[in-house]
Amino acid sequence: MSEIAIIKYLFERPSDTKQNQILQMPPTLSPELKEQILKKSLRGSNLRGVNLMGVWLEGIDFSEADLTEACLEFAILSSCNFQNCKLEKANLRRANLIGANLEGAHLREADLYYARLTCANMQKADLSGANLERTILRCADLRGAILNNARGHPVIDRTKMEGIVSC
Amino acid sequence: MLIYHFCTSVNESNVYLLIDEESKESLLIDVSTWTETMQKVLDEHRTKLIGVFITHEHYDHTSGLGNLYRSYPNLIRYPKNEFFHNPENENFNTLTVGRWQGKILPLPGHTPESVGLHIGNVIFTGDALFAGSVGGTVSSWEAKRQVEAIKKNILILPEHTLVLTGHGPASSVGIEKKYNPFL
Repeated sequence: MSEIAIIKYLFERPSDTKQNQILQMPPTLSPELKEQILKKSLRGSNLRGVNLMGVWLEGIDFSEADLTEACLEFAILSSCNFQNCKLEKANLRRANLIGANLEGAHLREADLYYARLTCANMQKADLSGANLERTILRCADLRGAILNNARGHPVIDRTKMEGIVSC
Repeated sequence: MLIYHFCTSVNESNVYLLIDEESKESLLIDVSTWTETMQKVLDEHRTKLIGVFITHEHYDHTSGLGNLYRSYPNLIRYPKNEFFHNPENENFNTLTVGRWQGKILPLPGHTPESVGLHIGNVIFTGDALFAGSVGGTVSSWEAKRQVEAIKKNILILPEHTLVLTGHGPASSVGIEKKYNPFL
């Protein structure tokens, strides 16, 4: 298998990011969900198992939402709010989570392989059993995070790590 | 403009296929490998592949050139050699894919000949700029040169410009301006 992943981007109007965002969404998404994404608020939504691979979701409020087992591989999730969000067993491989707020997020057994978490707030996030291989945690804030049985070799550089719980 | 992003098994490098759906012209950006799936996408869209743009000369961005040229022996390779002697000359620093005109931007640092391509509201950065990071360099002088080139050629673009990199996920100029600790 030579391709690990294939993503499609479509641009018709060079200056219209909203239009681009619509065009990048998988056709399987319901019109209601598309509308909510465009309104940038999915707070408290039930999104279990949703496939948003490679979709541009920058700055969306996912706080308290349920994204258990969701596929967010390669998604652009920079500056998103995932406060207290359920992301158990979510596929976040190679996701752009730069500057995201993951404070108190539930990331048990989430797959964060090669995900970019530069400057992310991960205070008190539960990363028990998560895959952190090549995860980039540069300048991220992991104070008070739970890393029991988390595995892999993340990139640690200027990362705040006081009070981490790990066994 | 339609862009296919293939994350390949060759050092997880990215290959992009840019298609202008109206003229059916297309351009490959880097070619770490040339696969049946890529050929199938080209065939499905019935596009005319007009060239291949190489961001820099590392194996994980060029290994597929041999197989690609076996299928397309007359393909134009960008940038042309003249670009490196005259990067400001419009005859060498622009390319056209159907309705879209792109500008080739020098981004030296990761390698001396590293380049990017700005086309539509997308910039292909190769290994000069990644989401939240920059390319590795052999010296602090090259690192400084790379950051200066990124600031001069990329950070001046509109913030919603999509940044498509040689490895890893996409980003935007706005995200990089706000968070990239190397810039």
